[in-house]
Amino acid sequence: MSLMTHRLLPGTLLAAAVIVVATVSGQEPVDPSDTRALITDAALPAIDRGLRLQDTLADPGDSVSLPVIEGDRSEVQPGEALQGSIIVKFRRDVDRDEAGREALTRLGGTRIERREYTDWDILHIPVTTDVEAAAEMMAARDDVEYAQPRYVNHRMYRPNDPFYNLQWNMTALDMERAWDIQPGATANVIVAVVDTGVAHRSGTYRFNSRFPFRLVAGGPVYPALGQVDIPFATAPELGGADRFVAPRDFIWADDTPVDLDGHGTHVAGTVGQLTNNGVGVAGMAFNVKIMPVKVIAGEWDLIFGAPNNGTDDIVAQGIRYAADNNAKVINLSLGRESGGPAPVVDAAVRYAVGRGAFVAIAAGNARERGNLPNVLGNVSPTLAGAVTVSAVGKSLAGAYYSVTSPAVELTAPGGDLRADSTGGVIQQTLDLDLLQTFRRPVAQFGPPRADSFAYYYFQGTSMATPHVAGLAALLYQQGITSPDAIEEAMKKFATDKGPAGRDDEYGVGMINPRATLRGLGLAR
Amino acid sequence: MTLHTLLRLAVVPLLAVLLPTTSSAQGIDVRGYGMMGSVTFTAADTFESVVGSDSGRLVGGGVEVGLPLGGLFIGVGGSQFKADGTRVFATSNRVFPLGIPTQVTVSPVDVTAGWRFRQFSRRIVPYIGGGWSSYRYEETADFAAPGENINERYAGYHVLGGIDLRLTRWLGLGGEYVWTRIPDALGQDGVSAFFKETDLGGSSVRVKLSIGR
Repeated sequence: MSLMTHRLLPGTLLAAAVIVVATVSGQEPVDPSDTRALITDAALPAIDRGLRLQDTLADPGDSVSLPVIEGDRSEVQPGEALQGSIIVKFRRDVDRDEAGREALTRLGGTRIERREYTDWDILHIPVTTDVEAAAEMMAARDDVEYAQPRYVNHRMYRPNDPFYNLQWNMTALDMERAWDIQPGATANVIVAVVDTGVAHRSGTYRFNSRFPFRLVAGGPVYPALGQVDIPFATAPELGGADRFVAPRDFIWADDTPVDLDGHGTHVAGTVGQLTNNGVGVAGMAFNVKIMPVKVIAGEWDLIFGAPNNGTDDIVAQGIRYAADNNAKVINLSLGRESGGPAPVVDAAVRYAVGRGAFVAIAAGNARERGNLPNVLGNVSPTLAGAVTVSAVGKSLAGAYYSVTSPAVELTAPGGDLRADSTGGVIQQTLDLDLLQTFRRPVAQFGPPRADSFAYYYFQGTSMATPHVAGLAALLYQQGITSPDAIEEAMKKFATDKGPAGRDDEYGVGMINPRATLRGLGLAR
Repeated sequence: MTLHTLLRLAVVPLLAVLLPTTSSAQGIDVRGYGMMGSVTFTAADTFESVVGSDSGRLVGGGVEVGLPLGGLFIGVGGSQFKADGTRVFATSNRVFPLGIPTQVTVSPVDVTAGWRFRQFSRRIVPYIGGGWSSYRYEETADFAAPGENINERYAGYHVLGGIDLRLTRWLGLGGEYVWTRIPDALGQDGVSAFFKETDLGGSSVRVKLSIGR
């Protein structure tokens, strides 16, 4: 078991904790302005610390755990459901208010919450009520389309061992010849990175860190930092402010989805890292606009007391927001392996596809933990315009962590650092050395910096998925403008792998960008 | 039209003009012709999706020899169809042009045997015929790797019917309908496979200007 596994497995993450504090104790949700305030747009230029191989990263196959706020022993982990509330979607022909009130009375609930970019309600019920049973009861009602607990999602990547130096993934996909045909799309195509946020702007946040926490159950208690100023900056390799469009943060409920984790920025890099600029590495669709949509909380968001976590409803909100704001491609390098179905997310994905957005979803990294696929990917096999993506390593064989599942439709490079220590997917992201200060001993623990960047090799189906999203953007620019046709084209030209035809490991095969972009002639 | 094609189309009628004086004395009539017409391909969806239409202009020429055996004649003719288009991706309900320039050239050579019905009139002569066809199919597109462009020849057959109108002793004007089948030339790959269209042939209507007897 790797060092990182030791560090994270027993760990009980911080993220869920804040939500739990609010719901378990019956408090109203935390007002984000109490804990986070943008104090200035001004910031020093971002720091680029180059390739960093010395920072230890976690394994994508490890189970995900969140820090636990000291004094709160509730351990709401990804895949588990928040207590004290459920998601209910009433049928269209029903008076939503009246039905909600009636349901609330029946469940002994306290209030109905209705948010923007939703067509469902969140019913706040007593924390002692079994949310699974309550959701089941509501789902059985004639006036309810679906009901589900608020399962917590996480990003589909956990960082791992850091060694490599080539972008083998782009070579494997024959991207140079693909870019001859379609050089990086244009700013007319918007790709939404629905994730942990993206390093998309500069400034300084003043956070109020009010809770001590443990990273590992039984481990040392890290102190509350009090008021701290956190500088953040645009990732130099993602471009300037004009590169981004309609940023939105559903974790902090504002329009500043700053990445305090590194995952979303890395994913955004694979989609659209600046290319051919003599710096760093390349991205798939390097001219597109990127829409940063934050729906997953990183450790720091949780440590600082973010009012929301990456529950299904938050993810669904982010997807709908992206679709409503003209995203043509939505990347979902997130999900969960446990818990029940996610009809609220399924419906959001269907909504997005119906609005003309192609959706790429990570298949999941839990192959060695019972081969549990990402629940959020279950919608894609029955929906033309959304695909679930597994990962291959540098040898182009299936990565050890990448789940096999009937939901897998395509595969793409996601890296496999176990098979090859130089086999991750490299992109620029936040400098984890200066960001993840909670990895240090307590005596060295301090506020993070989100204005320093470095290049890291990550692995995971999270890393495979943005290759597919990037290709979708290129195809959209090339003229295939409907999500179902994009999926059909990718599948038609995919390079078959494994047993002939579709299989659960690779789907119909590995994406073939050049062939897909070139399309069909009359006879060949 | 390339210079090569123009030369080819010009030489045949020229030869026909030079030959008749000697050959007709022995009962063999030789004529050359130039031809222009319109071809409509059987693989309609395929051609329409890539070059925007299932039909187009056909130009060509040939030579016919009337044998001293009643109305029997034999002929050989060549023609060419050329169109520019774009590579595409097709789904069950939509074709998406990809903006990648594509050139399609179809160059048929037809060897025909037929019969002229001279008994009705010396000025207006209907005829029918049929024979062997060989089609050269060329498809080139931007961003092609070696082996991805096509230059192949396929064989098939044709039947035809038409009317010759003698304007002068040496000059004739005719109209002709030709139906051709070139099986299995298409349909292995490309958008033709998607539409399950395998025949490169089609029907064409042609106007022929002939020189000779």
